[in-house]
Amino acid sequence: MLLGVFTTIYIMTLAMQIVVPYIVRETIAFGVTVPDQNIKHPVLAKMKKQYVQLVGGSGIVFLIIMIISYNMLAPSESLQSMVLMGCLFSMLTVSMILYWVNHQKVSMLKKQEQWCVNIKQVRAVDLTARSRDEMLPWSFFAVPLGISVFLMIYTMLHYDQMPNDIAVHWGPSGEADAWRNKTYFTAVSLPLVMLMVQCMMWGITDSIKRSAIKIAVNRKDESLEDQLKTRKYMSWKILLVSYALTILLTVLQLSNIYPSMTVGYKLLPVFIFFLVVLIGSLFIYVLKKRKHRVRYVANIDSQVMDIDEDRYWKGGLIYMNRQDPSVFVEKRFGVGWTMNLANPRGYIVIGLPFLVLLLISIFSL
Amino acid sequence: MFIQIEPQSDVPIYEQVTRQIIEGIARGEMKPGDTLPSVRALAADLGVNMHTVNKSYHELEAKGIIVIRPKSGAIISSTEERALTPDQLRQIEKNLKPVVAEGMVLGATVEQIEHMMKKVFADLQIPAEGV
Repeated sequence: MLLGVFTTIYIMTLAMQIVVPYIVRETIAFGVTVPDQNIKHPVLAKMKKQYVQLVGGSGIVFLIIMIISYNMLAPSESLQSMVLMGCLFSMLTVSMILYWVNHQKVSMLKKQEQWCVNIKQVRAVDLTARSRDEMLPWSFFAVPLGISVFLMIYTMLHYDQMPNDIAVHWGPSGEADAWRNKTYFTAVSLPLVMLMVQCMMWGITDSIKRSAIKIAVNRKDESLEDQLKTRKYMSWKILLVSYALTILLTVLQLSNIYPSMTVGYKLLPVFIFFLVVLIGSLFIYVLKKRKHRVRYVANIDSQVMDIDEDRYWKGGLIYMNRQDPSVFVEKRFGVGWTMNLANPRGYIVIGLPFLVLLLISIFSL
Repeated sequence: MFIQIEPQSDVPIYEQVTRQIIEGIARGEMKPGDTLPSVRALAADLGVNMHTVNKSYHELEAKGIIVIRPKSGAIISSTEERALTPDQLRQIEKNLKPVVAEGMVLGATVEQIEHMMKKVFADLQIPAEGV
């Protein structure tokens, strides 16, 4: 069971690592801005191919090592889980090192061949883009908050009929494996966690909505389309995950009030449902992202390029730009969005609910 | 309608925004009654401070090109609303003076400058591709 779940997670992670160079914008190679004028540089295509081969090859080797040693270490569960984690992290480390080497190589190439020199850097904006933004309105994200509050009140009303031990942790097969003594706080800690995560999801979506719609100056219409679709599907994805989590935690909380729900493997389908939504929504997002990606057939002959923001990206991964009012920006290497670490708003949106979550887990779990 | 900002230019960013919005209206890419994006949204999209966009919007309002209404935002005025006043004409003349003077000093004739004016006028009336 554990090996099965873990192998699935491993393969999904490996697949993500491999497709990354082919879903991120072509104007960014391993975290380095490449001007449209040099986009079809032969070295870049070769690097991407090599990266995929090396990450894929070593990933498969680690997978084989993982499965073989898992069976060899059969009696000791702690050794087994160490092997599982070890192989996953080794695979991730290899891809990180390869990313880093390639990042340095592209930076060097850019400097040597003087890309971006003598090209005017501009920022294009569509004044009508905002009226075409299709991100879900905030009310969609407020609904699950009501469910959490209702669940807290419901728990309080049924406090007396709850058993003296409250389940606070569940294993992969959907069975509770850790309990705490019943108090008013432990009784509502689960809906409280739910509330905080829902707030976080709402905050993230709202911040993405307020963040820049970035347009590629040489491919205005296509890149606008890509941006609008990316924002739309991102808000759907976050909403789906928020709703799935609400369903999962509501069921778990109800099983605390009505312990007969946990008999047998009755909760297992809910866990599987949650995992499917989590992975499925990410998968659909990646597919949509790839479909709408701006494609280049050749180098573009133009006098202008988008602003080179490399200096704000530490190592091509961490974004810090004091002048930029955006809280979230799309990752330059990877799937999804990353925070502008120089914008204090981000710390409130992510940090505050996270702090509350941490406090709940310290005091109740 | 697209606008294009050049942060490295000598022209301040708010000035670039103002000029390009005016040009867009002159071209007919934005019509009277159309709403400009909110100050916050445009600042995010441009990656600049909110005050920069605010300054540009207030300049456009002072020129009588847009009306800023609380809640509904910045709306482009209709031709009736922005009927040319003698004051505005004087202002345009004042702005033209240094440009014409530069042409005179460099030896441009009245005909050449007149021709230039007509050309600029005609260029703006042809719907351009992109910006």
